[in-house]
Amino acid sequence: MEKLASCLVVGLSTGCIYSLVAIGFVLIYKSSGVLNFAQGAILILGAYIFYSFSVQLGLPMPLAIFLALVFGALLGYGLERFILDRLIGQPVLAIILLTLAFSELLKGTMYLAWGTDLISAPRLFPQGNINFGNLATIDYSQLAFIIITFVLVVLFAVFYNKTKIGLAMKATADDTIAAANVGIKVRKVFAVTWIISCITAAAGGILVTNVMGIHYNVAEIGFKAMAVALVGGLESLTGIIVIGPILGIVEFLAAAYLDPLVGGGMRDLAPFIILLIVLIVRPYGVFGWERIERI
Amino acid sequence: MLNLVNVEVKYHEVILVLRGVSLQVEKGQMVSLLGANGAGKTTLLKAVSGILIPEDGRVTDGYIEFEGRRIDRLEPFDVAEAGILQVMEGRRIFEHLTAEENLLTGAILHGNGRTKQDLEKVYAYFPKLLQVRKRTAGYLSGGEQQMVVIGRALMGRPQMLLLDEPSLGLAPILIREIFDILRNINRDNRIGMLVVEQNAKIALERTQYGYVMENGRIVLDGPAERLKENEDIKEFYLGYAEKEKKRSYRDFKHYSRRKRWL
Repeated sequence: MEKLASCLVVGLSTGCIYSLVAIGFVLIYKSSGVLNFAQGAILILGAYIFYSFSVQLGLPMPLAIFLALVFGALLGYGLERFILDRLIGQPVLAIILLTLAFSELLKGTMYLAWGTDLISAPRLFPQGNINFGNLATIDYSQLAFIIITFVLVVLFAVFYNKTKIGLAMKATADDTIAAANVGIKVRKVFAVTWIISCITAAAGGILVTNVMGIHYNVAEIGFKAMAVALVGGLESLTGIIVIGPILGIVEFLAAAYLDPLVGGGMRDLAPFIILLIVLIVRPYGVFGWERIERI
Repeated sequence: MLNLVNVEVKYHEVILVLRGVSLQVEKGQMVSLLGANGAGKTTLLKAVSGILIPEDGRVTDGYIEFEGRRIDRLEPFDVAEAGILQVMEGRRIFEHLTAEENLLTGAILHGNGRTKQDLEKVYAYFPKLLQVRKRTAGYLSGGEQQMVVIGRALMGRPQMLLLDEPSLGLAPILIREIFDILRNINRDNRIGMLVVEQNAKIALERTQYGYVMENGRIVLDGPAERLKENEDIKEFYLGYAEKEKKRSYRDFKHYSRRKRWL
């Protein structure tokens, strides 16, 4: 029973991190139909920048966080303006491959700049935990992940459904040419999307590396987040907030109960097994946009 | 108001689609543009609205003016801001948004203020849309989608509408309904309209002036009344044969008759 409860708690908070990272995928996919493979690398880059400002330069923590987020915004803007803008009108595949290449480029740069050692990040949240009876305990930092993720997802949902720029993003996602045609500034929409997505990536990176440590290989978390986004449906913020925690919990349950049977490795495998099943049954994800074909 | 002078358009720098087209639409005038498939009608509209650019097309000669200002180098949203909105062929609706959200995207252009009145105005022209406003646009019927797309353009408060085959794939009764509404919109708001149509009969009935295009050129133009009486138009676009001498297909040479126009 204790094992189960602790799986639920740890799974929930890990899953929330996946959700947080997945927001970036969804934002970009929603407005441009591109799957950004560089999300994971941008995430870690944000964390490295935060580390450099706070530890290497000794700036106060809030300022370092702020600067890392500003850096994320600039990166997103630059990426859109100088690289992706030139690819408007080209096949989406070209852009997707470009993000893949950009991801490797970033990883290489990080390797050169910060080396290969696992760096432990400065603590963001006070140490301590809350007990639920004798069943489970939850760290302050785990609790913080859950709260931050929920707040962000709700904010983005409101942003999407209540604001004009949100509506413009939805329209652009649906039909870019038609959007330009009704007078939506498509370039601006893309720029805003990439900026927001890179900021969330940097924020996610600062949080994730707080438990995992900073290392360019942590970028692999991007793939877990991608699994969350695909299972939930690439257009759906609801999907992310529901599926992230579920996959997180499944991961830890698999690690706790299946690993002893098969000899390990189930933690990383389980989410992708679920992804495979969901893609077979509902290719557009649990909450995704069904493709509309009128007969 | 809208003035095209000797406009030449090339795609990918080599494919010549418009070969020197001149055309005018006055303020509040409703003009139809007729022609067979591939004549360059859609390209002409795209050249005006600026969506040639993402398709790698360019105005290579001549110019396009709107109210005395050159617009042939502008991006689509700048053209929209200047007051020209295109209703694209094939009902390019935002499928996953609701009908009302689709209309609201049209209002993004001019921002706040009169959005609510504009929305009411659109519903007044298209009462059918009021019943389906919360429905996902992708599941609406063809006629309703066409109404949404026209309404969406109206939300941007255009001075000129470019309509690309509003009748495409619609039942005859709906075509009439839509053209009647267009006529009302044109009359009430003095919005200029350039309508590309395959259905020459209804187009010439509801518009004031007509241009006929073939092979990237304007081959004939005149007031709609006069075009309706033109023998060539009758034969090729309206499908009437001369009553006295019913001819068989044998002495009916399309190509030689068409040649006369060029």
